[in-house]
Amino acid sequence: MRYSLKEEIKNFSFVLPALSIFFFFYIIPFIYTFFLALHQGSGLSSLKFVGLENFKRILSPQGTAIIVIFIGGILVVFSFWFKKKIKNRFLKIVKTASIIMGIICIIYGIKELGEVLSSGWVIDKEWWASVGRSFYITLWALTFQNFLAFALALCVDKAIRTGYIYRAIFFLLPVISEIIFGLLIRSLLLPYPGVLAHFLKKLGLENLVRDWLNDPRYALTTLAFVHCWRGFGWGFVILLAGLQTIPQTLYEAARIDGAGAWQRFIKITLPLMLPVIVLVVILTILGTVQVIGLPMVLTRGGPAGKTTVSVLRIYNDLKNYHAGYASCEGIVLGIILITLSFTLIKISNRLKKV
Amino acid sequence: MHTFLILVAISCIFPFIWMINSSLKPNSEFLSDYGFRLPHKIMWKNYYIAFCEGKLGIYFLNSIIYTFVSVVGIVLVASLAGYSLSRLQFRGKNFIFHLFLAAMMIPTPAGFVPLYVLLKAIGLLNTRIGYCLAMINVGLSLSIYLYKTFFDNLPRDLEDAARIDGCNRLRIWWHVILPLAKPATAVVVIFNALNVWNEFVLALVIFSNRNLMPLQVGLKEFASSPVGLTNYTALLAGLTIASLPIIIIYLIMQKHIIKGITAGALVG
Amino acid sequence: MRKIIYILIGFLVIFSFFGCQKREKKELVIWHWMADRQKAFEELAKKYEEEHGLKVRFELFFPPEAYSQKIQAAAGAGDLPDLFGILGEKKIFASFIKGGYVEDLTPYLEENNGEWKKRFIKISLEFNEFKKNNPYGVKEGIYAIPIDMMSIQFLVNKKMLKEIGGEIPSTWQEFIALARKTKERGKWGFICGWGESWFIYCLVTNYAFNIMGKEKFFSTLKGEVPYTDPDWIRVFKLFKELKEADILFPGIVTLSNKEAEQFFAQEKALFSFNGSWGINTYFQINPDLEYDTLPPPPVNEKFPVSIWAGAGSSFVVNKNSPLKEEAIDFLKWLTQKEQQIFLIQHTHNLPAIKGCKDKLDKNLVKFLKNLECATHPRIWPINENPRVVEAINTGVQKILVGEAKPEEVAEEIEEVKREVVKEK
Repeated sequence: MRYSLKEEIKNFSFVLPALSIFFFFYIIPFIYTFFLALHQGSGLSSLKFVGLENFKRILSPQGTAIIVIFIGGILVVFSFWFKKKIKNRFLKIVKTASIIMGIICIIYGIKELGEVLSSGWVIDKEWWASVGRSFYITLWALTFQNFLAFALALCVDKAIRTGYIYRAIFFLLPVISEIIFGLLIRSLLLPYPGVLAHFLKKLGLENLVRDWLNDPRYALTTLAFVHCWRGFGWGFVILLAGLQTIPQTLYEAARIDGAGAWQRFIKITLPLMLPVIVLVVILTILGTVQVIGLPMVLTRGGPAGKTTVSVLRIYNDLKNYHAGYASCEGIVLGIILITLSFTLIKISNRLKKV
Repeated sequence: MHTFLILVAISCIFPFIWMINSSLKPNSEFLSDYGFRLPHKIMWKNYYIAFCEGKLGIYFLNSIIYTFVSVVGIVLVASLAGYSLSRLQFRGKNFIFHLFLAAMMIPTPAGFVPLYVLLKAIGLLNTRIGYCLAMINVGLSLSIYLYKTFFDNLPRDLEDAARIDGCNRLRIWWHVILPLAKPATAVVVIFNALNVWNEFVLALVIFSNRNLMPLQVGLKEFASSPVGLTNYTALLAGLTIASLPIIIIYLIMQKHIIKGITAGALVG
Repeated sequence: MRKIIYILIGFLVIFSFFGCQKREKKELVIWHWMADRQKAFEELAKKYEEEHGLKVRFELFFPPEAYSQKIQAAAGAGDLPDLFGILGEKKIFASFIKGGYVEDLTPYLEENNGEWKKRFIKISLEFNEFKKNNPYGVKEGIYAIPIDMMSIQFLVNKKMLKEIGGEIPSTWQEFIALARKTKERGKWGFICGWGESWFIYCLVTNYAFNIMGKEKFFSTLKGEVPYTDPDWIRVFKLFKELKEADILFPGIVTLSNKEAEQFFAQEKALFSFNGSWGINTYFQINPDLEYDTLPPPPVNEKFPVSIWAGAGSSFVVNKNSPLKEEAIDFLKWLTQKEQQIFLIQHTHNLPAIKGCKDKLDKNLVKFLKNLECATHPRIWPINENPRVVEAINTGVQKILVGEAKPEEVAEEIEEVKREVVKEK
């Protein structure tokens, strides 16, 4: 049923308020972020246009050149691919423009690559180290945090009478602000006055006592652990809800057919929970990579920078008036996240069909 | 199994109990036992100190206003958008939806600068409305996603019946869709209430008038003021005051939240 | 039920409109980040209004990082207040000036035969001054007025010192020995808020001045001397010595300045390294604390050791403010003896003007010692690139936790320096 233009406009108007606020408060700052990423300095008088310098520092000159070639290639390929389907004149212009831009990118990229191929490979190691740390914490979150959440959800699902009490309790932690929680935990974990150490000694677990926050070997893991402890509430709630959508009748039928508990879990629970699990995974990744309050309060970026995660690094750069570089880092991070999420969604769709 | 649950539950409640317990002690007692023993006498005065010294009264009121207005705003705006992205047809529908999604992933570090300039240009800088609009934007992406997936899973019968009865789109939305979306709304409310209540960076940038600041800003100042630095128990009292409302909201909306996610607000 | 909700919503929306900007009658607006002073400022504002009839409003934005973001954003929008402070290194100060946001105050300081200028302790004004041919490209002049001063020195707990029968150390070796002795008695030797990394750079430069002298230090900044020079390695080795002597307060590399102040006030460590602003905290936590200041115990006698001192907080005048004259008058009033004494009594910070020594708290006076060897990056002819400073800070932290050797750290720092020089 073809909608008339008037209909379409009326439909579109529903999304208009959201879109206008969004445009104003996100799109414009976002364009500005791109604009800033091509400059050095901050929003005062010291903005200096440097083109792709910031990207070169993050991705190394060779890397930048390769990526530029890559983008150029994609533009050209896609334009040609659309060749047959476009009859509209406007889109034809767009197509031609993108082919031209693609070719320019490729040429520029190859030229750059030639120039820098011989020079040393310089890359912002600190930045990628901080990205690595974010993903290290994310790994912990994906395993420890989500397994814990899942296990708890399974238990609470079965505990019919007392379930709602647990539901309320487990979600309490994410409710406290990150900063408050961080301050609380820091005062517990500090070697002096050593509250947790004191506690462990009393329990006779003295050999577990370490300098959790300040020893460079443990600081990051401690941070990951604290973050997981605080965050499992979200995963728990979502997974629990997902579990409760699975009709009991399926389980009944399986039990009648003689399937054991483990088999019921594998054949019924897991497949049906797959979309929920994927969602939780994506939300966990997005939420954990962007964590900033906890590292700031718990370890201030860590002994010798060991707990400086990516967003904290961006924030520090901003604080030092390097807004241009910070924006560039933000964009690179964003692209990594989008690619990850996209891939995960595609994989989950593929799995769904199975 | 129950032992496992109980252990984890204790580990969750413990920080709260510690916080509340410590906030009821006199500061000298706290310094000697770090809040691990019950107070010898309950000192409500700490709350009084936190309230007055930290001027928490007006900040608290501000936070409540912002949270309420922003959440109501988001529910209205996001449900409109979610409904149209789910049920109505128009060009660029998919593109807009994915645009909102992508916004969740790319941080804009220096984004507050153009925000400041824009708000000043339209005269909404240093106003409550300006801040609420900014807060609505923060929660937009996730809320729209929640509503859209929820509406995708909603059976169409009631809607179709209303259309046959001659309601136009807007009335369908108001009379049929919104009431049906209560579970999803519960999820949206708790997500966004949490975010707005705990927010402080944007508030510092947008506001220049102390009397408009939200609670978190006031808390940070209090924590670094001469009183807050030395009187830990008063500080903890302040922190408890700050955490209480959001806990209450969650406890009230708990049931609905689970129902909301179950009914497909997040997943199909 | 529904009707009530609608009424509530409407009420709140209307109520939120009341937060709109109102056109105030003439009012001087001042932005700052000093959480400990807001009350004192408000009292001063009231006093000024009574004396001169002009309303003054102090707005506090804390924490300092948020304050920096705020003034950045406001500068971009042309929304800066009449008076404000600028946090950060001199380069930031310079960019505000070059952006046309800051008024040159030299003519006002010089008028009436330099009456205003003569009030100040020299080093506090130098802090905010740009000399001829400075590397920032700013026209020479003084652009900000200090309202207090600070100095950063070593501190020693007199009571604990007496207990171990020691004297104030005059060399580095004596200092380490005394600190060790304290450790044997169950307390720690040295504490500092080295989670705030700029503090590390402070001590590094103090000892660099001592070991290699000013000239060689500035040569390194210019890129003429590498950080792998043996003198620099000696500087870094000092931190290794600190670690190996086992006198450092646990977790020193993540301690915030405030935390270190608290623990020192609670008499958990014999020595500390802190600025004069800490007096307030010490007083609040332990009014009976007996302590003294001393310059960093020198390693050798060849060159003098240095300490950082200079203006604590300063205000600049917004060049585009309609109340410029009134703002400058207010600043002049604020730096008069009466007001300065009020401030120092309230905040226990050093005054920026001369002639208040007798009114100073007995502990505060101690921070006025040793100003002969005072210096500060703000008055240096050249400053190190922040990336190199970051490398130095991270490197020293690594040495302090035992993760790296001084020679390795020196290599890494030199690498960053070479990169930075190349980019120029």
